[in-house]
Amino acid sequence: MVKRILAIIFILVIGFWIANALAKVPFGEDKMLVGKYYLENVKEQTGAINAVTAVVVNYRGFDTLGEVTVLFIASTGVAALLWRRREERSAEVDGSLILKTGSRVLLPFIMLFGAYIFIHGHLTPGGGFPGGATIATAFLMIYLAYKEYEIDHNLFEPLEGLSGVSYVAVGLIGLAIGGYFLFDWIWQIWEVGDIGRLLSAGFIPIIYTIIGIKVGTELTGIIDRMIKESKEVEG
Amino acid sequence: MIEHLPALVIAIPLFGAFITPLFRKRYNLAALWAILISGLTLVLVLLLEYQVLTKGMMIYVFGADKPTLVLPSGYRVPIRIMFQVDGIGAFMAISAGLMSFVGAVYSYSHLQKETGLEKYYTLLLLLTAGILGMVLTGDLFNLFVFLEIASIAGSALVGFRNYRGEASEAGIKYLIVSSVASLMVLFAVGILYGQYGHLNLAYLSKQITFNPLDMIALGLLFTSFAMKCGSVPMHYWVPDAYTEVPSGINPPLLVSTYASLYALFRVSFTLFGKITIDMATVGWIMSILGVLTMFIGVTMALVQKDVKRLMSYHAISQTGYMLLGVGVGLTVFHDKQALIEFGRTAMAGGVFHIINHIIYKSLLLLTAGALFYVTGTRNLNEMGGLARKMPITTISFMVGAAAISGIPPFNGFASKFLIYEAVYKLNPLLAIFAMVTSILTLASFVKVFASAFLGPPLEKYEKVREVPKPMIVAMVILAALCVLFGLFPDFVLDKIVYPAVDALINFIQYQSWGGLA
Repeated sequence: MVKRILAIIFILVIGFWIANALAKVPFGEDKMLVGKYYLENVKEQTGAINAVTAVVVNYRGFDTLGEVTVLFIASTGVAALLWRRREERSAEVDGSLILKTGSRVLLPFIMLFGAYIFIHGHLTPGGGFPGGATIATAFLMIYLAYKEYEIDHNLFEPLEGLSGVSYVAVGLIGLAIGGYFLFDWIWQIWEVGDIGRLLSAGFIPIIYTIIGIKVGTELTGIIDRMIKESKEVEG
Repeated sequence: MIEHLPALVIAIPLFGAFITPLFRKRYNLAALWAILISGLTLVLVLLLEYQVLTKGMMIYVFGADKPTLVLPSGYRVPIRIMFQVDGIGAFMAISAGLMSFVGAVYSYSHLQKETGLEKYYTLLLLLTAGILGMVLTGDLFNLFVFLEIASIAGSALVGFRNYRGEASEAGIKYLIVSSVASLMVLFAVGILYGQYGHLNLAYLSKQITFNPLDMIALGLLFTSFAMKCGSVPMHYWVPDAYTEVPSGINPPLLVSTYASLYALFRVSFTLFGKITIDMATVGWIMSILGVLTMFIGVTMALVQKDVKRLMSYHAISQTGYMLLGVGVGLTVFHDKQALIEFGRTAMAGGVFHIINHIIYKSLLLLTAGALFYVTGTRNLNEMGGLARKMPITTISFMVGAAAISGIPPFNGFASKFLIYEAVYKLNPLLAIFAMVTSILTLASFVKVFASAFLGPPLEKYEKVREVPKPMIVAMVILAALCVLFGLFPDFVLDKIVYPAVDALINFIQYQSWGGLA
């Protein structure tokens, strides 16, 4: 009890201190340094209308490679940790006829929508991460409706690795053509596409397609691992 | 090609890691692939170190030319992420490359009875990529991203033996500690970005004013990195993680711990380098934390019966030496005369101790893994009389134990001696604590040696034989390095340690990107 009260007091003191420090920062002051540069140069340098996408994939593309890797580790880690205890689904009955038919009909549309999100990442809000997550929800729905459904592991697991390899490969092609790792050679050297059209923004759509496939397969893989329960746990 | 080394050093292990799952059940192929890739990475980091030593700091901007945004003051700022490789970064990169190679070689036979190994090797390569990114980057947010990569890969590997409850517990513990630490780092990065509008380390270090918000950022960064490098009082995750992780991962996991130590030094010396008054206080905090860490670590180690757990507590205790050495340097950082007189030597001792400790502690943990491999237990009371059966393991263990206790002519002596000598000039009491710790370390390893290797041969270990060749190769490489570093400390100090120390001291050079700005 005393410990808890001490902890609360300690947190309050720290919170007061931080709040005090934050209060001295002038509100609404324009402190954008790189931010301004991005907004002013984004179109000519990257060819993307969506400035956020341009920052994520082009200017700070290396961080995104890192984030994709984090997700890859999460998926590999879950697979490694649940390796021996993937047994069986705990669901006792299948979904109803309506649920099954409905999810079967909806599946291609959801996947199409996911693909739309990541292909148009440089034009509209969205991109590879939400697009991939949308695709994974399509599989989640199938998993919920069908008791016996299982993804094709021979297809999904290699696909995860291959899309990661292609991301690194895109970076290496940039190095070979433009002279820098993750250099956008399509926009800056080949000058393909018009700003505002689907075919623009250099390698952003390519990378977002790779990320979309990667995120979709990885999240689906995680769903597959987690939805199965081991028999020992049940009893 | 040479100018692309910083990018390739990250791209090659990442590429290798993404390929590894394709091997699926062909575990031997996956192991050979991991050895190949980590060997290639080792060659690349050695080339990188050579470049940095001969040509000076390396700058690599991802996806564009050198710094592009020109400020009104004429100071050029990079818009994109960049790698800034100086002496200390390259120094840490060598450790990472070497240890992941040794770990991969060792794992080849150590883990033959396990399953799911393609995932194990994938995670090993990703852990390497994460450490390398952390130590090479010149961008604060990028540091956070690679910290995440290294810690998530590390925690998955700690829990890899998922049929053991203890391993899962250790994995979760490591994951929680790491996530708390990375969230605090992210918060600090947010504070700094909000104020200065940039994430570049060199730029931030030039702009920093040390207002209350910066103090909070320093506090958060210091705490989280100290937590991740296993300093007292946040050391509780170390014994669990080091004990439960498969022995082949111990070397890279050690380096990943010290990558956080590197980040701690980078933050104190470079990011907040120009703050003149308060850094002496931070230096004192670091030194005292160091003394506490070494003393508490070693006293906890004395009572352990589990051989790997005992060594893990020694790992905590040895981290204290590094904190003490570099902390003393930080205390006198802005006092030019004292810095030349003993500060630089103390820092050299601390930095040299990083690589020495990584080498001999990995060696010791690998021998512990070898003992576990043949006996199936880690309890010292159940072992005995193994010296005749496993001569090479025994000799490797003796080399490692002598090195960790600071007995000449092994490498531990070289760095500890530098630390004693320099710390004594700041405060004799600190040096005495360091020496007492060293004696206690020796006592504890004499106990391990006596109970595991000496004594009458036990009946149940009648059929025990020496461990397979790849494990021997890994141990012999490290034992040879222990002896070489101990016999020629001046060569190592001049070639890689002093350049690393000078890179930390000379933060003006870092701020100007090696003269680019």
